[in-house]
Amino acid sequence: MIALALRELRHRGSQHTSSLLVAIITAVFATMVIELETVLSVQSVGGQFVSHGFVRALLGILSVLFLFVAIFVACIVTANTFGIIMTGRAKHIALLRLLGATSRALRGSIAIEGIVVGFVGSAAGLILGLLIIAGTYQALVDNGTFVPVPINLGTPLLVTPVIVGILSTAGSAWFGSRKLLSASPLEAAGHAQEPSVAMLRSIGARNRVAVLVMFFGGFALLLAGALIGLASPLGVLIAAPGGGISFLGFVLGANLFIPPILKRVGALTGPGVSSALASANALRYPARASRSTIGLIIGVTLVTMFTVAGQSFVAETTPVANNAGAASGSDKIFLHLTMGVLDVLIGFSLVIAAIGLVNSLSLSVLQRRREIGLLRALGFTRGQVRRMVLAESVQLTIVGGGVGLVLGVVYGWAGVLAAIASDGHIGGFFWPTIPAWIIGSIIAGALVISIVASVLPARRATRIAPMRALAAD
Amino acid sequence: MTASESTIVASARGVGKTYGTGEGVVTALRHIDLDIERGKLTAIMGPSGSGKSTLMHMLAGLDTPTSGRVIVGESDLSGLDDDQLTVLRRRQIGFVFQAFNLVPTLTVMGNVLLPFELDGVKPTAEHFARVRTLLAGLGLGAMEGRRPHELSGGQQQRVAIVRALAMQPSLIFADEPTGSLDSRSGREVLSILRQSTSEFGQSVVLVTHDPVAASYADRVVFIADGRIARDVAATDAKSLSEIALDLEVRA
Repeated sequence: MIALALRELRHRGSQHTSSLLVAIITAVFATMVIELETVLSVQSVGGQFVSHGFVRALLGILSVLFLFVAIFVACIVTANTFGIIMTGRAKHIALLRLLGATSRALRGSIAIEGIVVGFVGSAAGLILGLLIIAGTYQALVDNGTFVPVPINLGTPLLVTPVIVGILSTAGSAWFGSRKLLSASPLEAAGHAQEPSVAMLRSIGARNRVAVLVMFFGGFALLLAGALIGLASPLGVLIAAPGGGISFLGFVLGANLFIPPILKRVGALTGPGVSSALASANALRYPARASRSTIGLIIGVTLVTMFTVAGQSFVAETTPVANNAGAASGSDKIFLHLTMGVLDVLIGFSLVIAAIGLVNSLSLSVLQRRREIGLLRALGFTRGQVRRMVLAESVQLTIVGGGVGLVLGVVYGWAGVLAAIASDGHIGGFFWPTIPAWIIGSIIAGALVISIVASVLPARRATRIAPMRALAAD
Repeated sequence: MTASESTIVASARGVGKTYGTGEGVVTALRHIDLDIERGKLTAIMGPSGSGKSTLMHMLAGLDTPTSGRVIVGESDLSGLDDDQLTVLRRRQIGFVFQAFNLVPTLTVMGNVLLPFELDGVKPTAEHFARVRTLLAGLGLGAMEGRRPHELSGGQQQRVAIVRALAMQPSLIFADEPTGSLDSRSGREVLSILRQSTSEFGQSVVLVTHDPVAASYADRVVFIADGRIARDVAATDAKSLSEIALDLEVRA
């Protein structure tokens, strides 16, 4: 088992590049969250942030929350990556199974690969994270933002990023390899090529009801909270859990919500056979399409929600603050700072989600080698193949960005309405402030992600020779 | 006489193909000269590894020869780049493969019309009528909305034949089209290919190692060891089988 894992790692280590990258990013993030607390407590002694105990606590809670979000997204991506690696190894695995290797032993060896990748990645991430923090701290001291207090970054808590990295990578490896390795040897050989029938129902009836109840029930609570918020600040106590439950319902029921949206978006990349095939393909494995967009949706929803809530808050309270004096002014600066920090934190999960998209498209190409060979034989030019992969990428990112944007605006608006609309100075209902830059940057970001994500898979796809379709095996 | 009136639809002139370099060089084809006649069913026979598939790849513009020239219709393939070859395949060549002929995400109709769509041609009412007649003729009339996985192997092969015929290409290549079918479906597929030459004047090249399949052809070309070993007119499966056996024994 161990020998098998080590041989794979030694000879084909490069296939773990993206899992390693994801483990590094997650560990950098975890390290930063841990050290953020240290930095803030050191700085609050004699620093300028003493009065912001409440904001500090809030920042602490939010950064831990986002760490969990990042870990969740990282797990989805790594599980997908291992699924892809398994597909690439299908023939080899089938051979080992035929020769008598148990699926248990093979999965064990995959888990060991996961542990090694997780350890190397998170250890590298830990070191990188510490370097970034030490460097940033020094820079902030130098430019006078921070008071020059020496800081000790060493804390026992720093084992957490490594443990989290190992557990999430190994667990995802185990989970991601389940389909292929639990198959019989002959099935395992068959998995190398496209399964003939799409797995349409990957979510059970009971779960479907539960997910729908969570999403719509949570949404009803959110609305109720916002309405109550018009009269009393207690509305936020109903709106916040409502929003959380409905978003969790959406994430868990991604298989249910995303494919229908994807179907409608399919028409957006224009007529033509490349686009039509891309759309049909994205819908062929609804579960995979959902997994590859959910990371983007989570990231974009959170960024949009905090931006809309924050900007609406600033827009509505500025006239009030001007009357009330300077104290609120410094709060406003701190709010901006907090929002900036949050956006950076959420950016981590967006980067991980983008890696996930690349993987998902690569798998799509890998599994369709014969289909692409057939298309090439029948007269698909390399350019048309490239356009097909790009169209699939664009469709997936449009769904991720669009859904995230809509959900984020609704959650952010409802939340801020519930929290401050009852304030006497504001006087009830107001429309959300949606800054043009957030929409612009999400569209630009989605465009960049979809193009960048399609480059590697498209290159792979155009290299497939048309003779592929003729090969009998 | 211009090429379009000629009785020759495709030809190979001194075609050779080697793979690899230095010590590991493998010669798949050695100086093949071959003319494929218009409106005829030509079978290319040979044991596995004889080079028959390589020859077909060359004639169909799927691969480029190391030496010699291939001419399909009026085009000399040696001067064409990948995109030009692709467009040539799209317009002038139809394919029926042993398996995995159809795009799984498209319906029967979508698969049949795929070559038109690849070419950016909106199928006209005339095209549709022709395709429907072809589908109905092959017993697929009620299946145009089905997906490949809902069809039997024989039905899938027939859809592939309709797709190949729909564009009225210069030449159809059928590579072991009966290889994964039971004998009855196999015979049906062969009769259809045979009919397409006699009724529509379609030119078909059938690549096979099966003497029964080759017995449907007007002419059988035997390839052995990268060369044309025999070139015989239509005959029965028994004689073809004897020729094949004879070549194997001598090899």
